[in-house]
This record gives sequence, structure tokens and C-alpha cells, in this order.
Amino acid sequence: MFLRKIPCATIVAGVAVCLLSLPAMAQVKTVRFLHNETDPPSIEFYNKAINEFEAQNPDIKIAMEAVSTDGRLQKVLAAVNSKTMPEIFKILPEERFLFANKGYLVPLDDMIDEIGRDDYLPGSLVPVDGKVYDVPYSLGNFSVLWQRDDLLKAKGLSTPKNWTDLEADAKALTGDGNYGFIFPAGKNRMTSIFLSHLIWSAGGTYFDKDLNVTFDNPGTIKALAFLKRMAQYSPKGIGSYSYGDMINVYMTGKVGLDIYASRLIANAALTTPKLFDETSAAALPAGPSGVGVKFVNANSFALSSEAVGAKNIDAARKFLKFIVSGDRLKEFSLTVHPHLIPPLKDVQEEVIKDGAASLKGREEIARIAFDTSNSLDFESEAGAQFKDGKVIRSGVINPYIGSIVARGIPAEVVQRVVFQDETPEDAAAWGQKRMQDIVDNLKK
Amino acid sequence: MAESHNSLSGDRFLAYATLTPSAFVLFLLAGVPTVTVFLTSMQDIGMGETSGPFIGLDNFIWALSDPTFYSALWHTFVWVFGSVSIEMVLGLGLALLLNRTFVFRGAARAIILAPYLVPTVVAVMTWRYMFHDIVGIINAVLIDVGIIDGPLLWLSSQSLAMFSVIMVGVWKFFPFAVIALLGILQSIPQEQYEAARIDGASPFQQFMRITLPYVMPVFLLTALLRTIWSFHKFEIIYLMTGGGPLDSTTTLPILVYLKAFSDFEFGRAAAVAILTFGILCILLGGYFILIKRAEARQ
Repeated sequence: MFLRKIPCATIVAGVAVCLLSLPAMAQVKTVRFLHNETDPPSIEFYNKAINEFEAQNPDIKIAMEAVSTDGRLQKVLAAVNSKTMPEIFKILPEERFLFANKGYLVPLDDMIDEIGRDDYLPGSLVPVDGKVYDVPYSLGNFSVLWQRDDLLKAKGLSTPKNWTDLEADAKALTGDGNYGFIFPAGKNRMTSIFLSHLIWSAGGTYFDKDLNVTFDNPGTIKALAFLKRMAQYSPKGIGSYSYGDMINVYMTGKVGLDIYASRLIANAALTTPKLFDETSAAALPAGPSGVGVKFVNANSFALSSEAVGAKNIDAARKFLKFIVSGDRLKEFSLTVHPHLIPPLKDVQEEVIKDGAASLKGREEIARIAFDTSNSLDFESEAGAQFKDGKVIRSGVINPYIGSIVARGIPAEVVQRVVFQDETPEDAAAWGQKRMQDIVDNLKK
Repeated sequence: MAESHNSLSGDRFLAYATLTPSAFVLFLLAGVPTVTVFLTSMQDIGMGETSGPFIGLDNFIWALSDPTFYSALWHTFVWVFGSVSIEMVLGLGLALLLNRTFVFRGAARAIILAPYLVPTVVAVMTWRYMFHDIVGIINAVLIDVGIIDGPLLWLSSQSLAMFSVIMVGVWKFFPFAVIALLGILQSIPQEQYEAARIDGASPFQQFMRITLPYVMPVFLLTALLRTIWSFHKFEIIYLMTGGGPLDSTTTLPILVYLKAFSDFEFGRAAAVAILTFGILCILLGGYFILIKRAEARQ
């Protein structure tokens, strides 16, 4: 009898415990957090920050989802369509206008004011209809020239200052299994980024200030012709290259000149110390417009609205402010130094000083990497002008270019020229038509 | 008699009652998505929209008049028949080998099955590195042994990319054919071979007259299953090449994905998916006829 009562008592006690804990469980708010910073140090940072935040806020649980850069947009769109958006997600500048206008985002002006609006670098906060919908956590500069000092010296070459020098140096460095240059030509966003800074450096833009498509312009044709020539001095497999290959191939020690983000040197410092010692950073060589126009975009987080399925928005706002300001911003920036450029002015200088040790005291590398002057991104390039070695932005925000880049059209233009032997003129005309069709469709 | 009838009705009621939950779940899991795709294919749905204006068969008309659809269809046939035919021939050959008695036969069977057990993402990422023009081991070995002078562009050449993808598909899935065919080979009565040997039949004749007819239904059924699975295979090709370079490895499932998540044309993506389903049904009809014939011959 006694033995028969034990299981019953256990079940009753278990049910009671479950019932008592239900209110507590119901009070815990889960915040989903989607990002594409998949480096182990970044993941380690986020795990640490989440633990700290959850300890301070026991009623909030953060569920982190890290996805690849190439797969992020698809994940976001699938979540938008199924109304299962994570509360916090990584947003690209070219998605900002569309997402804000469709009501997918929550304005963040109050948070920006609390952090200190004036402390943000000029151009890093971009309002849509007067409201800021995303908060930058780093700036990405894809246009640093990385050069092998030892190889240049061995050939009696100097740092290229313009496209003519760049081509001559690349040619001289090619041979004996080495490649003078490398660029991505896969059908991916990185290829579109690479083509874009060349188009701008050659004086062209995708759109004018009235948002007419102007892709088929002399700058685009010069950029494509330049890439076609530079393909001779690059690995033959560039047709499948994306972000990772720009680093991995450089790490083999077979590449002389590489224009890419500073993750390259951060990885070299960690994994190939000799190559790190032989590599230096230089300013982007000037194009035919007289300036080397950098591709710099803000890496931002946005808060999803209830319209796309976000649930715990206040809790998410609290966590978002926690990770994009103060010590967390500095800590995060130092995880891949000098790749992650903090958008807050007072944090930048601290990061350069504190990160010098990871670059063996070579502060100048971080200063070149952190120089985001004369830069554009997809969203801000419409109608930009290039005069006296300076970039003059039109101030127009382009709502259409995100759809063009997401379809990989600039990258396909590169592939047509480099691999299908289409003339730059024909490829630019093809790109213009495809872009015009998309814009016409979006305007309907 | 009446009692028996009542008992039968009761059994039938019980059968339906127990089947209903499963049927309901099946409908939810298979029926609802299928109906949703059909409805989506007749709408103009863009980014961030779950429905759009009804446009009838416009999306199907677009697909059937667009060269990209036919290009993807051709690539799908090349991928499916290229990989399935090699898998089946290789699978049969290895199954015959593993059916013989030799030392370490158990270990050999385990090793051959290994690719099937490796997660696809892991396998594809490993192959991507192996195929890389600069850091890949395949080019390095081929250059070292003097077969090629410079690196081959396994994944970035329009002429080689499909071949490379097929090779990875074959490597990953040929063990399935080995398992299936080894099973049927082991069930062939040995007396038939003994009788054939007494009658003076050569090994080739034994293979053609005994082995092949015996394994043919399973061979065709395995080929049928592999055709179905390969036809809508997505992750290997997408992870290897993303459908490129240009569109040289864009198969129908990749086209569906690109239409939906790159062009944000969900209606067109759904129309291509339904056309893919229709083409697959026609192919399956052909396979079933072949299987029936093989069984009749046996």
C-alpha cells in the first residue's frame, strides 16, 4: 500500500512543481537575435555579453542565431514572409528604406539619443523619413589595399597610387605560381561590392540623384575593362570567389596585392605571423576620377516590428542598447581588430590604442583601416560626384538598389565580361536593362 | 449473418477512427503546403508579402516562354542522369565485389558506406576546399604527378562545374545503390549458379542470365528512388556553386530558390516548382513501366 502511494505522491508533487513554475516561465521573455558575425571570437563575445545581460535581467532570455553572410538575406526574407522575424536582426543599408517603409522596423531615435547622437561618425546614422531605424555596431571598410612589401621590394616596385600603377605592379608580380592581384568574380554580393568601388573610382554611379538608372556609363565601362585586364594577373578560379577566398588565397602567400576588408590582416596576425610582418596597408589607388572611392557600409542591427512577428520588443530594445554601446561596443570591436570599426568617435580612439598589441604595435594599419573618408555604399551612391579628389554625396537615399544587388546583377555583369568575353559596353547595357526592368517593376 | 455484418462495420469504424489522426497530420504536412504552392503559383507575390493579385496562369506562361526555365531543365537532366547512371553502375560493380568472400570484407563494406553517413554540409564544404584552384588538394596532387600543368577550375569553369557537382553527388550517394543491390545479390539461390557452371556457363553468361535478371527490379527501383531524390536535390549544388558560374549549374530547384529569394518572385518560383513536379511525374511513369516489364520478365 505504502509502495503504491509513492508514485502517486511523486506525480502529484511533480505536477504541483510544474504548476508553480508556470507563472515564472511565462514571465521570461525570449528575444531572438540574428546576426552574421560568425567568427569564433565574435560568437564568444556575444555569448559573454548575453550571459552578462541575462544575469542583470533574469526575466529576459536571449536566443542567438548566427548565419552566414551569404545566407542572411534569404533567412530574413523567409522570416518576413512567414512573420517569424527575430526581434533583433542584422540589416544591410540597402534594405533599410524598403523594410522601414513596409513597416517591418521599429524606430530607434530614442535609443540613439540615449547613446549620444552626436558621438556617431558622420553618415553612420541614416534616417528614413526623419526617423532612424537601425543602429550601427561597426563600419565595414572593404577598400583597404593590402600589399606584400617583400615582393614589391624584390621587384623594385612601390605602393600603387592609381590604377595604372596597380596594373603595372600586378603584372610585374605575376609569375612563378604567384598572382599579382586577386578579386572576387563569383555571383555574390562581394563581387558586386568590388565592382562598385571601381565604378565610383572611375567616375560612374548606378543611379543619378533623381534615381534614374545610369549604370551604362563611361565609369562602369572603364571599371569592367580594368577588371578584364586585371583577371590576367589573378587566380583563374576567381569565378567562384567570395568573401572568404579574398583572405584564404592571400594567406597562401601567392598574392601580391589584395583590396579587401581588414579581416585579412586580423587573420594574418593570428595565423600567419610571417605573412603579417610582410604585409602592409595602403590607401585605395585612385581611379580615373582622381580618387579611390572606398566601399564602406554600416553594419547595423534593427528591431523588427509586430507586423513581421516580433514579440518582446521592449526587452529586445534593452538588449540592443546593451550590445551597441559602451564597453560592449569596444570589446566587440577588438574581437577582430582592425576589421570592426566602431561607429562612435570616442570608442574609436580607445580601440586603436587597445588593439595595437594585436597588430604588434603597428597602429598605422588600424588608422588606414579606420579611415572611412571618401566612401560610399549602395544606398548612398545615387548621384554622387567626384571632384578634386573628393567624393561629394548627393544625400539621396536609394530605395531600389537593394533589389538590384540582391539579384546579383552587378556580379553577373562582371562574370559576363571576365568569363564570357562580352565587351564591357554590351555587359553594361545588359546590366542597365535588367536594372531598369527591376526599378520599373518596383515603381508600379 | 447480421451479427457478422455489424462486426465488420464496427471493425471498419475502428479502422477509420484510428486512421483519422494520421490522415489529418498527413494532410497538414503534405496537403496544405502543396495547395499553398498551387495557390501561390497563380498570384503575383513580392518581397514581404504572403499573398498578391490573382493572375491566373501568367506565371506558368512566363516559365514556359523563358529560356532560363529550359536551361535549368536541361541542367537538371544532366545532373540527374549523370549522377544516377554513374551511381548505379558503380553501385552494382561494388555490390558484386562486396558479395564475394575476401579478407576484411566487413571493413570494406563499412568504408564504402561512410560517405552516405557524412552530413551533406560537411561533405560539400570539404569538397569545396578540395576543389579550390589554389588551396585545393585535388589540383595540387594532379600538378605534382604531372597530369596537369596548372590548376583546373573545378567549380568556376562553365564546362567543369557540372561535372564536379556530379562527382560529389555520386560520391555522396552511391553507397545507397550498393546497400540496395548487395541485399538482393545475397538472396540469389546459389544452386542456380552451380547448375549454370555444370552446364558450362561462363562467368559473363552467369551474370547476364542469372544475376542481372534477378537484380533488375531492385536496380530499377533504386534508380527510380535516386532519380526522385536527385531531381529535387538542392543543397549539394547550391552549396558547391550557387547555380553558377553564370547559370551553368542552375537546376530547377536552384531556379525555384533564386526566383523566390533572389528575385523575390514567389509566384514564379511556385510555378517552376509545380512544373518540376509535373516533369518528375512523367519520368516516374516511365520508370514504373520499366519496373513492371522487368518483373514480368523475371
